[in-house]
Amino acid sequence: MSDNKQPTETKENTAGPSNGTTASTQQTEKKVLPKLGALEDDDEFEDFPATDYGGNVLDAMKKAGDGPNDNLWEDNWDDDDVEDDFTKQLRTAIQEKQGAPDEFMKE
Amino acid sequence: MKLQQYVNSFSDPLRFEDPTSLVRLLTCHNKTSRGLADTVGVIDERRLNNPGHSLPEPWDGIAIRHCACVYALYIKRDYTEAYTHQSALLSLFYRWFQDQSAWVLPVLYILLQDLRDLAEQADQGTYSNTGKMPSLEECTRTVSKAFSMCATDRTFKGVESRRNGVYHIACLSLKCYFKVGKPNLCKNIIRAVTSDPKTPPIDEAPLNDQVTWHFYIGMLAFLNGEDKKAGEELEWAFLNCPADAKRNQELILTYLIPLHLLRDSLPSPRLLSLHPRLEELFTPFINSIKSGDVREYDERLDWAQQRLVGMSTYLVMERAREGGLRMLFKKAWIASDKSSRIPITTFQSALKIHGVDVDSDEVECMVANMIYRGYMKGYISHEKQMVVLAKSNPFPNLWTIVR
Repeated sequence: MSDNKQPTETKENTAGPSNGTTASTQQTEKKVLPKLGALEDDDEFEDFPATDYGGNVLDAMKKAGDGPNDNLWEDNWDDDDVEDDFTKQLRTAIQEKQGAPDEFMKE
Repeated sequence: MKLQQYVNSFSDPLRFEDPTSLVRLLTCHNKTSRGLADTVGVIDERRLNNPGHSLPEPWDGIAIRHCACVYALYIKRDYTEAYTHQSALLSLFYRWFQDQSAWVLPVLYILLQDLRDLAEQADQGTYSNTGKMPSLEECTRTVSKAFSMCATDRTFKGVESRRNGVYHIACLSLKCYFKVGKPNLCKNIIRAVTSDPKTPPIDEAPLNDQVTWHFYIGMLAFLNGEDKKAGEELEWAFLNCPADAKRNQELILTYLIPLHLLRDSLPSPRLLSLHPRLEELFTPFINSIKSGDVREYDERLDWAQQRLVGMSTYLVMERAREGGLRMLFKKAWIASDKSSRIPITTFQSALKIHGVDVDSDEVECMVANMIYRGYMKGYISHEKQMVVLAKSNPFPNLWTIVR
């Protein structure tokens, strides 16, 4: 294992500077995010009594807040007409490409 | 309570078949047991071997073993000895249990539950030194014996049958197999339950056993890559889980949320708000799926790797990334005014905006994969470097795609 590690580490070191800015910014951005560690909890399903419930999960959802928004899952969030910064940016990028001579862009 | 007084107090519950009183007398974790530990004193070998004859066989022995067990547990704090007594108690109990009907099941449950707790405590030192769990492994076999005695009841029928205990004992077995690191043995016990036509239907079991059973069946299906089955079982367990069993809900959702993400079905903010740790873990993934930011998704996979691997959900979360890629390509389609002909370069630009720099061959490959999986409807014209999309609904909802 230790033999395996060595060459990859040196490869990263030599690749670092020549790889330009994108690689180094990627690396620094990654470092900002501290890793989410494993949970130490016992992952066993706990025993609970067969009777005397204070309701089920849907009841708890209703209690958690007012209003009709007590659905568990959102299945229809995906909208065909989103316009956000991303789509704007992409439109600009597409237009730039269209400006360049490219016969496939003519519909 | 004096020793003989304690022994005598078994005679009425045994005569009237009263499980509640027997449970109270035999549990290791209530006031009676702690009081008993304070008063009974040391029980020597001689007494253990000659427990007396004031009760029907083998109840004098069971009563004396319980006293020795709680004395070891509370006064000597010797967990290994306490476990040994409880294990001997169960051997005696089984001799009697094999001729009994279902009324005594609650007593069996508490005895096994205590046995398992004691086994875990007894193994603590051994486990940290050697990585072995001898008591828990033996306890697992003891639980299996109880399972056979329930599952092969040929004397009693209907509500009287010991078969009514199979789900409870099977769940205990499954928990034991996971604890001793042998989850592959779970399928034997599940097969024994499901393949026997004499097993009572699951929906006749007490609700807690039903929920636990559906959880483990679902979780094992999840580990086995059977998404559909896992989803159905876990969904049932979740909807029927009591509101105050929050840790159990969290465990169910640990597997259920990734399965939903595969279908682009997202947990609602309110659902997540009830489970802060899941909210912390899944919110970044949900946001990247919604925004189509696959680069952020990959970074988050890296960020949460340890936790996801620890919960065996990493591979499914890795697959759920495709929902983000689908969204990214869908946005490329929206930004192209929903044209049915989209150059590969448009998808390439979309990826680039999120910091994913790939050549056109790779983009083509990603699109091909999306089409293959049914996430996009259309085909690729390789020589024209163009994706031709279906005129209607080129990005079907993932939950409509049956797998």
